[in-house]
Amino acid sequence: MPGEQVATAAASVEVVGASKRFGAKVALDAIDLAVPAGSFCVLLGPSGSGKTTLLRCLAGIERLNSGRVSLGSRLVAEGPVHLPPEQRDLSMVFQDYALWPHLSAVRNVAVALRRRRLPRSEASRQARRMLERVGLGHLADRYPNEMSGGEQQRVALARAMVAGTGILLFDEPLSNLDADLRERMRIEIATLCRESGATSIYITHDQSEAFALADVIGVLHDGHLVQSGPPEDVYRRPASPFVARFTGLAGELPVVVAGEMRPRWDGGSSLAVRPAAPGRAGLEDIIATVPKGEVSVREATLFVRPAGVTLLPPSDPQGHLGAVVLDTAYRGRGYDHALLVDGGQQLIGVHDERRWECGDRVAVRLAPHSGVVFAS
Amino acid sequence: MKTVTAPCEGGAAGISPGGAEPLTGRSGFGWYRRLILRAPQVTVTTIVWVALALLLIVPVALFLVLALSPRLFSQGADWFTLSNFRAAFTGFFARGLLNSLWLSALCAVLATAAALALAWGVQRTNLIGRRLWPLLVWALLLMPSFLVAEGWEYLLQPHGVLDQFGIPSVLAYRVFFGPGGVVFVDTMTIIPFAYVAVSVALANLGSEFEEAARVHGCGPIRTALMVVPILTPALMSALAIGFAETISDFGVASTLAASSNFPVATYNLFQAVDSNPANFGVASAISWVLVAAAALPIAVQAAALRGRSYAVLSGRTRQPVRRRLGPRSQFLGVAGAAGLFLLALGAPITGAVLASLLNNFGVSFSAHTFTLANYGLVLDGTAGLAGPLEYSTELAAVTATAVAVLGLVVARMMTARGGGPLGKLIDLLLIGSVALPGIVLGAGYIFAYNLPLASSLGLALYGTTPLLAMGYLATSLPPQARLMVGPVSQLQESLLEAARVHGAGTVSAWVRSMLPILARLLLWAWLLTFAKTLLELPVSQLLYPPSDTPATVAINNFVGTSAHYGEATAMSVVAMAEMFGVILGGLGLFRLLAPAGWRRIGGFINAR
Repeated sequence: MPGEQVATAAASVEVVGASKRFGAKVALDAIDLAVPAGSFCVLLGPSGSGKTTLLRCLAGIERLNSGRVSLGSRLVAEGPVHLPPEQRDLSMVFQDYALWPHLSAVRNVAVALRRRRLPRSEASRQARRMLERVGLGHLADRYPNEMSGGEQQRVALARAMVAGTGILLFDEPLSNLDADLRERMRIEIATLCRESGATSIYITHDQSEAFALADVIGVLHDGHLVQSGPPEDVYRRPASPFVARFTGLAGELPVVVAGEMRPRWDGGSSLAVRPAAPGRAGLEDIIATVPKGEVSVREATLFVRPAGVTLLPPSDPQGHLGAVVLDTAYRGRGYDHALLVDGGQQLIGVHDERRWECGDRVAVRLAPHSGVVFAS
Repeated sequence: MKTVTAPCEGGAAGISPGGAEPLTGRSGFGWYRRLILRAPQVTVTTIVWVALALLLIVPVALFLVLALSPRLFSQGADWFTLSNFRAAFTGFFARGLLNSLWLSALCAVLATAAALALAWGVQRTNLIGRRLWPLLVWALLLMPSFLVAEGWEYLLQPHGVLDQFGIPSVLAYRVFFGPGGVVFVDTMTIIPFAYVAVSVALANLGSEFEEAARVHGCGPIRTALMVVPILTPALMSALAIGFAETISDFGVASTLAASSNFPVATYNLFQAVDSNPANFGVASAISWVLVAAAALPIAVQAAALRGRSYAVLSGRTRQPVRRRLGPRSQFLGVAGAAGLFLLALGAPITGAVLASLLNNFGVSFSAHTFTLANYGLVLDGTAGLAGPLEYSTELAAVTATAVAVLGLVVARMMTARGGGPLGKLIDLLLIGSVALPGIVLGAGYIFAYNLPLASSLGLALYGTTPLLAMGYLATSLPPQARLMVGPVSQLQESLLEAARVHGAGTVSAWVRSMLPILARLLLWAWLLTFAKTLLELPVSQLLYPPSDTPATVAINNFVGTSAHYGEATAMSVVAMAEMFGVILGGLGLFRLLAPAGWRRIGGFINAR
């Protein structure tokens, strides 16, 4: 229908050998990343890992020192080629929303339609409709300072969605919101992005947000893309101790290898290990995952995921380790515990429906494949 | 074992630490104790208010009331009349007011546009020389407008410097000696004020608004059109300051405008007071208009921004990526900035320096030779021409010291525990005084300290050096105290308390904990006040005692008499050199002598 919102076909994103320096500081180092058209990619990493720089290079705000960026079939950055942001046909939700304070919500949204060269009235109509879509139709004429943080975030989202660009970029859009609003906005973003069919690239340092949203996760560390793939792969088979730590750990335990490696259906391997600390005699071995390569040495480290840890009474023969409860925190659906295991290591975020008191002795059981092993 | 102290007998106010008596007990001597304890604070407050009353409130208020009620001061027959306003709004005086209004509006717009372009280039692009241009802005800020005007006059006047070098200047002379020249010089001299307002806002404006515009499809021009309105408060401030500074300017008004027969309000006011007999009534009516006109744009700005927020600064505000200028843009940018400072500083300074080096400049129309004779006369004590510079230097040093001390006290009073109603009143008074034209203040002093009442109180100070010093203090104290409020309000009381708790006395605690933090602030306050006072014109022109002539008055008087034209040019150059020399010397000494810790903190001058 003439004048209706134009949905541009989703474009794939390809980054090859992208490097970016700020003076002597290397922000990105030979990044290779491929995001299929229409998928939702989350770039996960701690502060200073380079994820914002990568996003800004994709947007065209920063210029690469070397490497290549292609959006769909268009080469947008390589050597002297650098397409400015306004010619890349993408949209972005900024961390602080970046709403122009002198424009009302509807005018903020309508600005993004200029590139579609619509008549002013049509642009305004589409902007209002997008604001209604994000639940802000009644606030369309308000200025940003007259809106709450969540409302401003919705305006920023509407502005990014309204022009139907094939690529959407999100720069930690939920980091300024409280926990409840974060979850609701996360669902809203996921729904809108999937409905639009656009390729989305979203950066965050929050692993739970990343796993909830992503079709593909890329983990960045010190300017390197250290792993990319489906969230399940990244969680189950982290490429390095850093990725294992950054994607959620209860703790790290020194273990000794107790058996042969066995291949798994998902490409990884299984390995029987037992705690290096003086253990409970006669217990079964812990079945852990070896995500990458081989563990050829006898001593290794088990990176324990919180979900695989079960607390048992101290005398329960199913337990692999003995421990003392250090802290107990009520979480509504149960309790999170911090433990000091017999070898001197700590496990945190260990959930149980039952409350164990500080100082209680417990037995800890580790479910098969609840942890991954890397050579020490 | 008894571990709890028994409550006071009779249920008195409670136990004070250390077993001292309660300060708020029911004792009949409670009020006396409170008075004793608060005596130092009450004394300081009283001194400050008396000083503010004598310096600002009384002379200005009396002078302004005069326009409405001349009989109150034996200046006419009416207890209430509007005749002074009628006179101020007719004929020559009306033309001056009208000229001042359109001149101020035009200069404010031109200066804001130039300042925005310069600030954008310095802060948002890789413009070559972006460290130099802000320094030149500060140099221009310190440069008195009358020296800029006179520097250009030396260059362009018939048989002036350009003529001496065979450069035709007739056309430039015709344009310059008229409204065009006045607009030009006034615009140049207010650019720094607009620049400071705009550049601070630009520095606080993160790059995300530009990036958001570009990512959502706006090209460079459209992006600029999107972002510039975010600077609305700063632009309105720049316009308001520019307007207020131009309408209250006396330097250009008394030199270029006067010699171009282009009447403006401040010079008309001066003439009304300086004529014989003095027409204080009309001068007072003109003052009303000047004060109202200076306050008007500030009020308009406040009304326009009411209920709107342009808050753009957050903890995550991202430093902007500097736009890389292409060769053509780079050339245009550098040429624009260099041209601006060449016109505003380079040309007038060159004019003054060359004129001061020419033999018989302004006396003889024949060809001149280069000489240092003018400097010899100015710097040689025996010729009597060194006197004005020495006099101004002494007064500037005294004023700067008084402003640094009093400004700190006033700022401290305004910020101590919110300041209370008195603090707010002082704040209002200071803001109003910042917008008060110096010429109005000077006229108010002449009037108030000539009244019979002043004589009977032993305050018949007209024609004395103390009154001139008071005038300098009154013009410099409000802006400096207001500037100090920001840094002083950020001082943590706990620093002082920590020093006291660890054994320092009151004075020692201040010296140990506050002075290091405030040292740079005080230094800048001293240097800026010294510079402004050394080359202050309107108050000097109205209040100088017959026995001593300040440097600025001497320069203006010499320019008006061809016999000493050369000395005037040399004195201008020496005064400028002294001003910049003292500032550079002060900063250099601080860098060399101040302890390392003092140099790392404090200060309120942002070189951006």
